[in-house]
Amino acid sequence: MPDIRSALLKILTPGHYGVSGRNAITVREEENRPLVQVAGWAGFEKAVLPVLAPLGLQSAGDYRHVQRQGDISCYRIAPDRLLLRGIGLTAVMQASEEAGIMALDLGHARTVVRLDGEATADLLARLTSVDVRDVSFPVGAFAQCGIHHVGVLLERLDRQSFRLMIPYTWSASLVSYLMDTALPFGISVEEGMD
Amino acid sequence: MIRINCPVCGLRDETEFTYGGDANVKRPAMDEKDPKVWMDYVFNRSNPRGDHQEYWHHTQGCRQWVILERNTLDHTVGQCRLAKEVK
Ligand SMILES: [Zn+2]
Repeated sequence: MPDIRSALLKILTPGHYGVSGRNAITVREEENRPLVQVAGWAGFEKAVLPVLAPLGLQSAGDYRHVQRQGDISCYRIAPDRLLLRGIGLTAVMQASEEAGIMALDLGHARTVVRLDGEATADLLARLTSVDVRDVSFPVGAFAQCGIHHVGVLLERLDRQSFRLMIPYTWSASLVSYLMDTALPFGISVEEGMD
Repeated sequence: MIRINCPVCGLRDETEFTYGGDANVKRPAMDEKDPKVWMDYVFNRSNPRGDHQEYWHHTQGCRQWVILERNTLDHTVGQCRLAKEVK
């Protein structure tokens, strides 16, 4: 399998950017991890159970909260569709086929960026229409949302930490826009994927 | 800015959605022979002043089609339902 190169090589160079004396946002590209989309038709919630059970997941979950089981994260992104991160296509292929469910490898199709720091929620409030206040978007919440006219999966990892899963081919443009918006907060770009 | 309460994703800005046209239009039966009926179906819309039911696609969210009640006069938004759940 070919190595996946970062789409952000020219966008995220480690260093400090924006207002001096402040580092309210830290930006880092995360390593590529397996990602599988599992999709079906009417009756999906029930039909997908035999695919999820061997992974230790009891249900498809809801549209707001990530389900975690060991290394696996499960995101219910639509009534008949979910994303599994941390597990490869081969692990779900046979069960999917038997259940009449479509499984699709998206491992190469996303750039994953992590944001940390005291101003992350303030930054995201300028980028998306999702209400990211603690009270409405707590730790463990996720949202499939629009940033810079691109569909992005946003996830809260901790009070000041978020993960963004961005379509690979749009990520250079989107992260440039994110960096521009974050300049007033002071940005520290950390070494990430190469 | 219209804010649309997607049944799957919750309250989002209109910019995450794509307008999909009048949700009251019904496709004629496939054996319909009258060209005027097809002409109406393809081209003619009522353009109401006031409450309207329309399709929107949550393009940047859950990618579901929804039927939204919107007032064309003042943009007041009413109920929003998944199109596939509306008979
Ligand atoms: Zn939605």
